[in-house]
Amino acid sequence: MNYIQLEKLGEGTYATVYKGRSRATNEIVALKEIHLDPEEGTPSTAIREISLMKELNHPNILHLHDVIHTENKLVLVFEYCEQDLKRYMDTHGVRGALDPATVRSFMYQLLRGTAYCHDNRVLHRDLKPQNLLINRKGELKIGDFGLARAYGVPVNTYSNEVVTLWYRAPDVLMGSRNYDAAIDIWSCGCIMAEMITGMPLFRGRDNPDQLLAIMKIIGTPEDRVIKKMAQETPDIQFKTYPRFPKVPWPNILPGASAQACDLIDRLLQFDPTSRPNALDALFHPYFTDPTAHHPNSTNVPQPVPVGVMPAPVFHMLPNGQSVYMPQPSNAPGTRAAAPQPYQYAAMNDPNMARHPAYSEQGHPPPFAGQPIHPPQYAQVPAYAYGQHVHPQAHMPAQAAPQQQQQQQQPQQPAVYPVPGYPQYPGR
Amino acid sequence: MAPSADTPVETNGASSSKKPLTLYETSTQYKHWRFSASQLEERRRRMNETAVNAIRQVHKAEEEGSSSRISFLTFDEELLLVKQYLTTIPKMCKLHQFPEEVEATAMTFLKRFYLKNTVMDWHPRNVMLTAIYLATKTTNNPMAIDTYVANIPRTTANDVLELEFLVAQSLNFQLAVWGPHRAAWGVWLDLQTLQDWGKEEARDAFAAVEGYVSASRLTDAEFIYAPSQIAAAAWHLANPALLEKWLAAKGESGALPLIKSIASLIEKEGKTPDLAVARDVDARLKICKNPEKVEGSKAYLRRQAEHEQEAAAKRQKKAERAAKALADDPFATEPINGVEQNGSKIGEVDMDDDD
Repeated sequence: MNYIQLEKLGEGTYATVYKGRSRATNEIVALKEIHLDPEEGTPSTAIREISLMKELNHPNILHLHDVIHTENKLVLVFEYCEQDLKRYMDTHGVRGALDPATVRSFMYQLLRGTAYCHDNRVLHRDLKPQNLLINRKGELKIGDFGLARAYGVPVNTYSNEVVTLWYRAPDVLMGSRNYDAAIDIWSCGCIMAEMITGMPLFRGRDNPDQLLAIMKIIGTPEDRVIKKMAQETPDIQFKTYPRFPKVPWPNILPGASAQACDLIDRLLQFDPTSRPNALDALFHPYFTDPTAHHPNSTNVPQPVPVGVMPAPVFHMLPNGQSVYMPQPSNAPGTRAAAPQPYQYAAMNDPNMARHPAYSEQGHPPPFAGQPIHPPQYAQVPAYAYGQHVHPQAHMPAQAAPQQQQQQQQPQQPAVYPVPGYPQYPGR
Repeated sequence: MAPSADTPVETNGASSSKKPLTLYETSTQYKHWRFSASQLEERRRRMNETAVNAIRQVHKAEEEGSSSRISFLTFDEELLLVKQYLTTIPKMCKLHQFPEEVEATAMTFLKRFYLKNTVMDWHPRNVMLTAIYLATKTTNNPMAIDTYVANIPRTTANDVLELEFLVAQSLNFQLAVWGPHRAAWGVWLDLQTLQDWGKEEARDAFAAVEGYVSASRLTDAEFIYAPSQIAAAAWHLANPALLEKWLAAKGESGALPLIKSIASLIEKEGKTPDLAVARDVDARLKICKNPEKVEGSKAYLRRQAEHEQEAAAKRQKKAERAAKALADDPFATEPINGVEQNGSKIGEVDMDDDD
């Protein structure tokens, strides 16, 4: 093995990370040197990380090039990334806040990597900005597998551990031990809000305080929701919590688009079974709708880096409308099943129908030939989850549903700055 | 390592068409640990020959007389000994109350290890203990080493840990294993969705299936067939009618002949070897094992000395390089990380060095 060790990059719980260079190719890599543990030899976290990383191979997962060992140490050779997301936000953001296009691109990549993990029955369990790495090309890579807590270990309440606490799902905070993929989805929601505002969304001091911090923003869930969660996961104790009203997302995330708010709202559902799976989230209009953009910016849709975002798959209906139908993620009992591999493969298959707005070459002006509309959120139809309408399909016939919608809710108080903020069923 | 010419049985033909890969087909187990029966035999035969030749050389260098009188183990005998220790793993796991996952993973580790190593170099007893310990970590059932060895007679923590790197490296650090027990459970769940499944009948069959799945771990089936195929064979052995019902429901009735052949393999090979024979092999192993690996032997000491010499030479070379770089820069009191001087970098650590 032939790597030259360069400067130290950081020190983790069970490893020291160095920058390194391959003698053969001059490629820059990250060398993670594992400290041996007198209790168990090679730490089980390292073994677990190796065994998972050897199976995972995806552009949004940090790639494990090699495992090398000498007489007395074990070194994992990872691809090198310049920064983690936390540092990226500090250096590139405005007081930590990233611009909407970057948020959108990073969120897409994060959810894509997460979907791949979940497809492979891997829960990360420790998603946070410090574990997401950004390389020079702006590619986001999920890293630090195996640093994640082992299943069922109680939440640590020591103050030096609170950082991880901030991205922890309420069901876990309430004692759930049989959590599933939905805990990673919660973390994704926290990370998205943090990218928008530059500040962690829920900053609790300890376990109960974290739960309160969450309720103060997303509102105390109704008793029946907590009762339902307690029924589904026996570890959760039913308690009465102080009643907090839900704060509208635009108040928390000033300047965020309606669709960004809607996606965050879905990711940060108190009840884990109400959160979408990662694959469904990728088909949220926030990603698929070319009219989704920053309301305060000009009316040109924000570009998304080419090559980072594959086209979603649409099915042509007999009437000529094309619709994407993800699996119903809210149907009881279906969420435990991992998404079918074909959905994933279809996304990566260049032969599949491409979304007209995201061509290979880049981004053509939206609705070429037509005058560009000013942002009118009322035109974005309220959609039921599971029926993502083709972004262009509704454009010619938008007048009727728009009128209907406005007639139905004429007196709605202006809680949201955006009148057409989608209302969703079942809440 | 991946089989090329003599391709093993395709799994349900999925990889031949342009269908997307299943989860199993993207695994390292599928990519690197599948062989045909003849490849396995060829591999073991070759490894045995190489080992015997190498050990003869060592004896020659020892001048302890000719090694011609030593009867070396054949590759079947090696396999028999490995199998004997495979049967110990379930007992060890029961002793420590490890879940089935640990047992299955450890048995796979042991079998994979001896596709790359010979028992004449590494005795299976300690490799087995290390394989189990590594399996506990891989499957997230960690246990402190002292607790682990406390229940095992004549074993120290060091016996287990000193082989850990060797075992992990022989496995290419490909530690995630797919066993048929999960697939067998899946068939059991599937059966419950069928129209006319006899509850009692299926439950009895499932109990038997677990036995056949355990038996399949003593065989080479996992190197040749997919976990789901082995699971189906276990169900076939337990209750052929139920399995055929399941196959029909899945539209896979064509797989029956293949499943039958796996079932006969499990019946034929999935038995504990004769203990007397295994004892005899073990006794002969004491004489024919590689002297370089026997602590305290002449050959072992010579090998150690050679290692020591190599390491010392390397250290000296490194010290010279550092001294030269330092001498070239009159202002440098200590090396600065990564600063380029006269074409050689100071502060670079050669990761090859073990010292």
